[in-house]
Amino acid sequence: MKKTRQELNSIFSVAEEMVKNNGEDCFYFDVIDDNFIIASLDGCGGSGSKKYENYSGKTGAYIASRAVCGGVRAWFCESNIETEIQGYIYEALTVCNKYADKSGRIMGSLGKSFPTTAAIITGKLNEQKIDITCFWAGDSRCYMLDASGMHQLTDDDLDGQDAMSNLSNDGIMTNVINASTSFEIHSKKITIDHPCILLTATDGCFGYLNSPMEFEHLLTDSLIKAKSILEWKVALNERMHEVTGDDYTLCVAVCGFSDFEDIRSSFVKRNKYVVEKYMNSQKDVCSLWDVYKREYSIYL
Amino acid sequence: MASNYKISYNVDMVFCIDCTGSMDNIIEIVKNNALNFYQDVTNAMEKKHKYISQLRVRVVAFRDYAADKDKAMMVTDFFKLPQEEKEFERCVHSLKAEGGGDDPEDGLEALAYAIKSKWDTQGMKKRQVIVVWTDAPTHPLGYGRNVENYPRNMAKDIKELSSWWSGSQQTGFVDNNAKRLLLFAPDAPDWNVISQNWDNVLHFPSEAGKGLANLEYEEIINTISNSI
Repeated sequence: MKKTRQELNSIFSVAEEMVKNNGEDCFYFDVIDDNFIIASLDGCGGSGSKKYENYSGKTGAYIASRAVCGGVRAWFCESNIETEIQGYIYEALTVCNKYADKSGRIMGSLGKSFPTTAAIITGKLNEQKIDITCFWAGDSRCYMLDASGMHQLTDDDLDGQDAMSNLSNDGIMTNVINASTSFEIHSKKITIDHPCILLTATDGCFGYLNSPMEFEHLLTDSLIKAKSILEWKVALNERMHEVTGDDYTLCVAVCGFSDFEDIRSSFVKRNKYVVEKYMNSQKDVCSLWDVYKREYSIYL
Repeated sequence: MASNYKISYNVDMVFCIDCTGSMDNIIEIVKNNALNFYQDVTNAMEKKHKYISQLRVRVVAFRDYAADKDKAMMVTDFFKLPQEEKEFERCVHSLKAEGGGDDPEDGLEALAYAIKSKWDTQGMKKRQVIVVWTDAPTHPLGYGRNVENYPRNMAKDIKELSSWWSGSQQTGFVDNNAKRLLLFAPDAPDWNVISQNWDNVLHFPSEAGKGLANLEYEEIINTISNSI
């Protein structure tokens, strides 16, 4: 059996905003004792485009992702994950509403108060296993990447059929954190083997690619060509910058490897397989997805 | 730092404009809004690196079947922009505020025409946007059905019209992902029923003497363009 370490190797984020100082994404990562958290949030720029004078003229989307991120941070730091995260998120939204100017006259279902998505993973490493809990709402995603490939851990709150159709169909979000309508924060507990890499991502990271296979390739190809975590982080930023048209926020927790060379070498074989089987294939992307999704969707 | 990535959409817009006499003092403002709207949306989208690869606009000018008979409804085909910009401008400039009879107008029939547009169904990324400008509440659907030129196959009531907007593939006439409805209309029947119950609607409740503030217009344009 391969030797693994019962610890977190690295935890980091890669993020960029399209319009300087007006990006609507937000992130949080932290480690307290044996517990870690990664969280990516995406304020919804369409439904949350109302600007609030009381909040320096920023949009509801901008405020929402940051306020809810603050609630998630308070939950992780203060409660030690003993209490429900929902209460902290509702409290953050209540504060947003409390100090917001109420001058708006615009009505209708297209506008929402302080809308944001969230994809959150908390985890604790045990011997050979990691106990994780995913929390999410909206179209941001939680993933696990290991030597067997990429696995989406959370269902998109979109009206499409699956992760592939949700990329191409430009679907409507069916559930989003906000202060004006009811919403649900989904949660799921999973125990997984380590070593592995856990990720939370806003749709700017994966939503402009043609398929989920391309996102895995982006992650592993940049990893196997890097010489350190820092190089991988820089490469990830460059790759996503090239392919996206939106703010993007990726949080990464690397778990249970012995060192960077162990991380890198663990994905060489898988990357080669993905290139040969999917990236260089002459088959149409839908039939490739039909094969790929069997492993990709095992946690859904 | 912005990327070079461009995402393109096919966008259809239908402008429903109340052309009854009560609109006389604001019809020129509405016409200017209609002429500028698509460019304002286009500009806001480009700030977010979203681009319109194909833009088409059509006009539905409405009054009141019972009062205005054959002048109650004027419907155009889609104008392709920018190629047919001159024709579109000529059409909008030709609109006159007159007639209308009683206070409510046949705005729901105009909305029905808009919903049943021959939308572009090509392309993965598309938007179907309807904008209504009016200062009046609506008659119930069918109020003018005894008039000779009242359209056949019109929705018989608001319930059926709702199914045209929000229905399944069998009953709906707009793409559920692509549709957006923007109402510049009073908080009055049946606009407020639509505002409260239909999905993907943005409603600016117009009030006499209270125009649209710049900040509100910006919010509307950003809501539409950021959801494109």
